[in-house]
Amino acid sequence: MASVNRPPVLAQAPSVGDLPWMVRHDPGRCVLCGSCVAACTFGALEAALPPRGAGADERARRPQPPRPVIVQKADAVHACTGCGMCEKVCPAQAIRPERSADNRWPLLGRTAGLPARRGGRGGRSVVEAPARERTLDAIVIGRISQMTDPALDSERHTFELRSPLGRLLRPGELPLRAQGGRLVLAGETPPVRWIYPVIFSDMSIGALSTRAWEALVLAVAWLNEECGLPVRMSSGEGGVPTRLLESERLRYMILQIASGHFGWNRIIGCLPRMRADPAAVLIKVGQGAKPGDGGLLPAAKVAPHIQAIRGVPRATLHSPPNHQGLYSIEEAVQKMHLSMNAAFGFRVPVAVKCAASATSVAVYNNLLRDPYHICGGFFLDGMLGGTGAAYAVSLEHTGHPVVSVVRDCYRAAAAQGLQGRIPLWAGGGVGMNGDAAADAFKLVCLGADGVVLGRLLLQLLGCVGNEHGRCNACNTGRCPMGICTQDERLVRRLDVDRGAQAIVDYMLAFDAELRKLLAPVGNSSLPVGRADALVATRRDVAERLGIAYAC
Amino acid sequence: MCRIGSIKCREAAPPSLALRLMLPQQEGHDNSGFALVMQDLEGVFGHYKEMPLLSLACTAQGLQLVSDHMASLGFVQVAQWVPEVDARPGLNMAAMPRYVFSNYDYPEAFRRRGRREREELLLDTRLALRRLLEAHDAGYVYSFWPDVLTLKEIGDPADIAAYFRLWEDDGRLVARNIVAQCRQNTNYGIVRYAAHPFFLQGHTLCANGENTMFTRNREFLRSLHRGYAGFESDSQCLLYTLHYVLRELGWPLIYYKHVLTPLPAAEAAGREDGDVLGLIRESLAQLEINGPNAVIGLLPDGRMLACCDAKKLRPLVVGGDADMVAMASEVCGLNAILPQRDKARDVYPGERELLVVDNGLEMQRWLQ
Amino acid sequence: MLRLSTVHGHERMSTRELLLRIRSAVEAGETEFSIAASGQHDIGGPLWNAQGRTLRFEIANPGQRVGSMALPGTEILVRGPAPADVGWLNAGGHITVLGDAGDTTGHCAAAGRIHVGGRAGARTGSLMKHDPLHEPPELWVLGSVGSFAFEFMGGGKAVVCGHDRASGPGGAATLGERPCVGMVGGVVYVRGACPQLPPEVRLLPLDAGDREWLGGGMAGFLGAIGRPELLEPLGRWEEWRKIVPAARAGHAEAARGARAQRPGVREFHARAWPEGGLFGDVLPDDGGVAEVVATGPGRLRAPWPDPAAGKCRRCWQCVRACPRAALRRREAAGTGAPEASGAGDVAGFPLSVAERRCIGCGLCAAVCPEGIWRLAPVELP
Repeated sequence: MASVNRPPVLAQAPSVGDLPWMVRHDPGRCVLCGSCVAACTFGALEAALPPRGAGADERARRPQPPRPVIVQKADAVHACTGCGMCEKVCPAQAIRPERSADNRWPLLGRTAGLPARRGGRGGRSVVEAPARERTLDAIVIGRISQMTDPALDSERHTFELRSPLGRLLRPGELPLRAQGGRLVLAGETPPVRWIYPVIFSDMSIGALSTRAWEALVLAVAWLNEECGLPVRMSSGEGGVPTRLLESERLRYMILQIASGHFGWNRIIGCLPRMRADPAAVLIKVGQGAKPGDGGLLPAAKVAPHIQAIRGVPRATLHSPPNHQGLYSIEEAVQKMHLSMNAAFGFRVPVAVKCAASATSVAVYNNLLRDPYHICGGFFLDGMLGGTGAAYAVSLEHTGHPVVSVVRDCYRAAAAQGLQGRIPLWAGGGVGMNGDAAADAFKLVCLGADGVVLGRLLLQLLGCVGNEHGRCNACNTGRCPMGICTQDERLVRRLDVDRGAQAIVDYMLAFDAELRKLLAPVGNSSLPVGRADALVATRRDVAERLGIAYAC
Repeated sequence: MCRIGSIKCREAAPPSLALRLMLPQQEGHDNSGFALVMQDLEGVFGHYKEMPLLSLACTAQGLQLVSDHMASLGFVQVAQWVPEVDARPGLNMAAMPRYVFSNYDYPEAFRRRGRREREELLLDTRLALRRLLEAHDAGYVYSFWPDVLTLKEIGDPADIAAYFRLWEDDGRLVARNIVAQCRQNTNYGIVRYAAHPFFLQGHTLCANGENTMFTRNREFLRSLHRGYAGFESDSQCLLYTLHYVLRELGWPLIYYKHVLTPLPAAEAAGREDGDVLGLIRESLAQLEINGPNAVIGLLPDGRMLACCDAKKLRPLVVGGDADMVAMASEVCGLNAILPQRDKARDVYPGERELLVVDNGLEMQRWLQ
Repeated sequence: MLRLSTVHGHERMSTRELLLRIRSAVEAGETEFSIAASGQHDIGGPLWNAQGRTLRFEIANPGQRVGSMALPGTEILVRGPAPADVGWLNAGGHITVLGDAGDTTGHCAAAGRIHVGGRAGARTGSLMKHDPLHEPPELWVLGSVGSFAFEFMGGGKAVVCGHDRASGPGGAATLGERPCVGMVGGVVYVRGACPQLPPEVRLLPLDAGDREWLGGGMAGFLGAIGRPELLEPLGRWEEWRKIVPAARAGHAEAARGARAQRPGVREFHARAWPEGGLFGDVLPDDGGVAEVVATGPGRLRAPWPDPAAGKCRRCWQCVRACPRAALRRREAAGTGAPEASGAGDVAGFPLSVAERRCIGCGLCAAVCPEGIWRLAPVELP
């Protein structure tokens, strides 16, 4: 719109510097192609004529063609998220977002009495860049086989990178009978899957676009079928498409049930037509990024197919923070675990996912005591995990780091001789610096059987969000990559194959890197609980985790 | 890296035979100690085969503590042998003041009890003596079992042999099974308990290896049995696992190998017994070993076993004739005591193999 | 001839003492040695006679690394078996072991010849190389070799005859498990069963050159180990095959190559995925990928004229500002100019908008002096 009638500027009006990102535009380079404005999913930009000198006669400039500039809207509703699509589409490198050092976003972001919301990882990460070191970054793999024993060769030697999912019996509980010098099976045992030590986590249809979700399944199928890498994927709480439920590839899927039970109408309906058992059922009790808070799917993302799969109208969907009717651990085990075991004929492991918490050890101890062998995994989700949408206050201020919780759970089990009976899977910030294999290896040494990746996968699909406050607008439905949105125009931006290719390439590199870490410590299978392979470069970390301090 | 050896023969043999087996392998170890376990004894112990034999190295105070404790439990000493040592100056060894080997009769209350119950008593007694001696820094108790003798010392094996007059072959100390090695076996301070072979309730084990899964093994083993109490060496895990699989679980011997070095999952899954192997691995994953290892074991019934790690990183060879079978890290050891054997029949156990020599000296080889 | 006996009573000569005695005898001109060893290491190398005369060793019961680093002009005969590392780093010696040789026989040998009259152990022939200053190193084994043999072999020739293979479990194959991993050079001739080979090597029948070379060396080998009667049974070349590297590429590169040969996700998607995708029944998707800057129905926003804002003065600034030429004067359309873009007339204004060109950038709105155009989001149904 023309700038001629520029409204008067009042002191309390927000300026672009109050917003978290300022868009820098260089009119000298700009070729006025309009791409930046067109590409911006947040409506943060507009073209406008710059004001001329005060009192200039408007008619006097009429003969000259007007030359607009690109300006950023100075209002909170259209705040730039720093996603950088403008920079990506600009043919002249004339525009880019820049972090605003003196922004007032924590105040401006809470308008109309509504709490601030966002997507992305938990932890204090939006406003201030997290300068502090992660715990995992203060740990190195310091017990290297040097002369004492030969290090292995990551390329030459065989490695077996498999982790259990399911309830593992104690040796005395095994229904084995010696018969003619051999042991034979004489009874039933709980189902156990030996899978790759990475699970793609818990991102629902709804939170993700159909294309993004399908790209994950495609990557999983490729890794299994072309590479023999048995990676599994959790559906998230949003159902599973019928075509997948009725295909052999269901065996790659871990079906999640959360407090909203969304999608289970169709899962149950498909039971008679399932051709394969799912890898597992995962009962989600809580999520690391926003513990104590249920799922949140803004109405903008409740597209028709989601309405169908979930059985709901278009409305903002809340999963309650709690499973209705579960008021104790015993009940949780009985109702959820037993029912889910029963639904699949006791052929499918049933695991539970909780937000990491100061209470995690207590929960794990209770699960370990489960005499019915119906809990087949404990998933711990740390506060650095991601989410599609949450209240900022939950993201920033609730949760628990996952590392010490994994260690504590492992040690609590080991003290009872119950380590390895219920596999521990750790997530929440794994790979947030890009080195997922190193994070995974360290967590395994501390006691995890495997790790869960989520946010990293989206970043591989193309997500530009990061831990320094860039984008993280998954909650808006305006995802510029077409990943966390149901706007078909944006979804169309996402190339499924290209995204899936990036994921599988990363996973192959991950696999090679994991071997590179196993080899120097002389292990050919996963050294679960082998904390002696680690040393910490911080005394506090060493002491807390019970590993050696090195300097 | 060390060198290990064992001998199984029809006629009881003296320790000097084990010394000769180990001598050519000398450069493969660091000469820092000598230890042996002898089972199926003759000589001075031949008459007391049923009477548990306590192997002790201690101070005078330690001996008194042990005597008092044994008396308090009701054990009755029926024989005692104190080796006549040659304490000449200049020997490179750290001798203890007393070496005492005593046979006991069971306490009255246990004489009519079942074998298993008596075996538990022997273990509890040994563990109690160990704690007692440790508390007073008064010595070491290595084994307490019928027909089994353990001798361990720190120092040059040749000097240890001279000290105990092991070269003299006076016929007093002989056995049909001998397991030996020549190193004090710790990369840190000197700990006599860290010297192989290790012994637990009739099971003896000696290994040349490094157990990179030590921490994981130990954490799990500790919860399995009160007898899995000493972890001075990472190889003790191999003994406890042997004891657990055979005695506690009652599984056939081949499963020891399956527990130590499970088959790759894909391969196991394709086998007829894949379900059993899978379960074993799931349940006993914490006992899997990684790292180079060659293992010699001696079972309560006298059978002797050999196996290696999954990558065949440490050497072991087994050979013999009609009267004797020996195992050694290097074939030059066998050549020293069995020069005339049919060498073409020597067996180098493979990475998937478990080899067992029975009391008739017949060799059985099982592939995982 | 220097005869040395290394055990007297239970006193054993140390490796150091033995090797120093041999060395001083060699320096004094001795060329013949007969050694009754007791496991001493490293007997036989690296030694040389100043006049270039051949050094001959006959050894009983050596320890590890007999003949290691042996130089040309050294001939070693071991009467009986030898433990690990026979001929390690062999630099030209001729080593014959009449019995079994232990693990890693011929490890890193780059010249010379090793004859083994029995079996050889695990990792035999690993990292053998060929120094072009010499003939390729040779390693001949009458029996079988253990697992992991010829790992990372880079050159030389190995012959495994598979004669009289060990009885007992696992003894049936000439080569143990996982041979030739990472092999990049040289050749391994094998008679009898082979386990599964890694992708970086190929198993081929012998050609005429192979037969000639093997035939030429076999008699010498069998003569050296005292088994000339085996010449006929071992000379049935149809029972032999050879293992050679598949390509002159490192193992890592070969592995990467194998990975590159896997189909990409796009191909996999096209071949192995349900028609229409997983959501085809609830949300049809043709899979087309849109540019970030989309036009027509892909636009996020569109210009809307607001008749209440004013009256078009036909300055055509908006038409000029439109970067995609989506705005046209209505007269132009009326004159019969080609309007293939499917422009729609803007009611009440002398303008038409071609939606399939418009990206929704709002430059038209920015320049309109009357404020007629508004850029507003296009809501989806």
